[in-house]
Amino acid sequence: MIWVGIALVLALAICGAPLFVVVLAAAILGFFASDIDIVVVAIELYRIADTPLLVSLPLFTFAGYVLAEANTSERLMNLCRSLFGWMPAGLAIVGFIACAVFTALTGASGVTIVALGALLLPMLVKAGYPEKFSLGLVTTSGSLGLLIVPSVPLILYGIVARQIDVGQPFTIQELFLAGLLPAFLMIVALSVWTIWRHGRVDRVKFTGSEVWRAVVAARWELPLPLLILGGIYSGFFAISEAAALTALYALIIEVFVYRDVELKVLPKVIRESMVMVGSIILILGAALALTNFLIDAQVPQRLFEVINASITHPIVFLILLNLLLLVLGAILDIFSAIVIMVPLLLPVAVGYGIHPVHLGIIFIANLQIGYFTPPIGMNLFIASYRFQKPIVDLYAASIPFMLVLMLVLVLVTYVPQLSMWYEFFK
Amino acid sequence: MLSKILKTLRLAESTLLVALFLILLLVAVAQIIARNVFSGGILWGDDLVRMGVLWITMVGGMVATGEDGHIRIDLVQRVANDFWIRITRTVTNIGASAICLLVAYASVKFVHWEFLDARPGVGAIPAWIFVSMIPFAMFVMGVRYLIQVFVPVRSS
Repeated sequence: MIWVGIALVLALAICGAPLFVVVLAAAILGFFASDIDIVVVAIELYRIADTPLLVSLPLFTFAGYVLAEANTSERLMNLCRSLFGWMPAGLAIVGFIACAVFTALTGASGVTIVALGALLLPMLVKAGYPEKFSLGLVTTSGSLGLLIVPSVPLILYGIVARQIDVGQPFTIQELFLAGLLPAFLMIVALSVWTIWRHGRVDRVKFTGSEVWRAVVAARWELPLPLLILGGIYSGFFAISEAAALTALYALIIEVFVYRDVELKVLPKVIRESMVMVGSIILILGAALALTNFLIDAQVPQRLFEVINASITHPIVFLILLNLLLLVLGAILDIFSAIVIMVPLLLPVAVGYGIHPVHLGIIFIANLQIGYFTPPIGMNLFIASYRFQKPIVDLYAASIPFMLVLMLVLVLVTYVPQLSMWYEFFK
Repeated sequence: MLSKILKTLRLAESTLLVALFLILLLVAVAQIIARNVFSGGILWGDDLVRMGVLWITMVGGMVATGEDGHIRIDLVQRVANDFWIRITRTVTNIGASAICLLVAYASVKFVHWEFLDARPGVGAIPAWIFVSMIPFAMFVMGVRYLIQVFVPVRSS
């Protein structure tokens, strides 16, 4: 009987039922099988109102949507270009940096491809980069920056992981710090590779006046990273406070100062961002219920025992984890992958001696690559649609970038110090 | 007539969602000012913000259901032909409707318990009023998925 239920839930998932429904169904099935009243599911959903950190999600997401709606991408691009355009393969490096910053701010990486990619692609081609390279850059850089604060997936990982007691407490700030070096390494690796391959293409001269002009144009947006990074790392603001100020500040500058977003468009932006947030938190709420059942049924422990029986070495476990997450990242969207897989995998990973913060970085870095893993990574489809190119072209264009990023992923996975560097300063 | 009512309902729903966000933002910012400038906080501020997140989630979920905006594994949609897409859509809509209605039913029980407990929610407003949004939204989503079995929405 229970197997019929499990088969039905899996069928719903594969056929494309809304994920919150799939997760709810799994939780209901679990409680039903354990003779527990399914009212527990409702009680668990109510925990959405009991997780103070969660309020940062709607606020940061809204800020991201406002920035995406405004001409921030253009100003950011100009600023990066004036600062870094003099370097060999300058424009490509500018692309990496701008995409990373924009993705960190807007979270949803599809937005980066649609807004920044559309701006960047013609510039790259015009500057003399091969089309294949340019397409690969805009497609794969759409998820670069997911490791940089205040990226929503990173916050979500922190929220989910902190709900599970594995005896290794950590703060969200530590998680944010951990993401910085791996993200930086990714940008450096991509840049070095690009310089090696296309170092001779274009350079713009560095002129102080150009930098000044770009700084003046972006002067209202420049305090944003300072507000977020400075506020959070200095401990002056709690995450949710930084989120509220970021949302308010972004709203004020884009609507009233730059006037990029008309007041009458604002409700639409709010609505779209809140629908997005609603669907993410709904899955999270459902996942809280499922997690509760899984922990009650000691599923993570059993999973660990089963895996540990055949895999004893952490490195082998990490390799398998990398592979699993790459596939998951291509099938599931990043938010669902986090809320569904972290409760299962965190206790197992800790059993192998992997710190929750390190696991978080491995998770996000993997899922970041999963976004454009052929054949079904979501960003491939977004780019194919946006740039009107056959999907197969994008496979070919993305693979070299993927290999470079995989190299960094391997480093980040097997050298925990790259994520946990902040420990040295404690 | 029916379409007019539906349109009005949708507008009301969207307006509520926008209003909820603006309230959340204002209270969250007011709270920061109160804490840092007047070194006190609004007593019910944090509670309101937390309940606001719950309501945004539920109302956002309702709106997403109406426009097919929920996150799903869209493997089938990416590879299958129209016929199979239609079949899988029907199956998933029936399943989604059943699950949402089941959770709505379970949450009514929860609201009843909260009502009997009379636990405080935000200020003088009892918690059960805020919790009521869970069964309400689940019910609306359940009905919507049921309607979508017969009248499919265009994918956004």
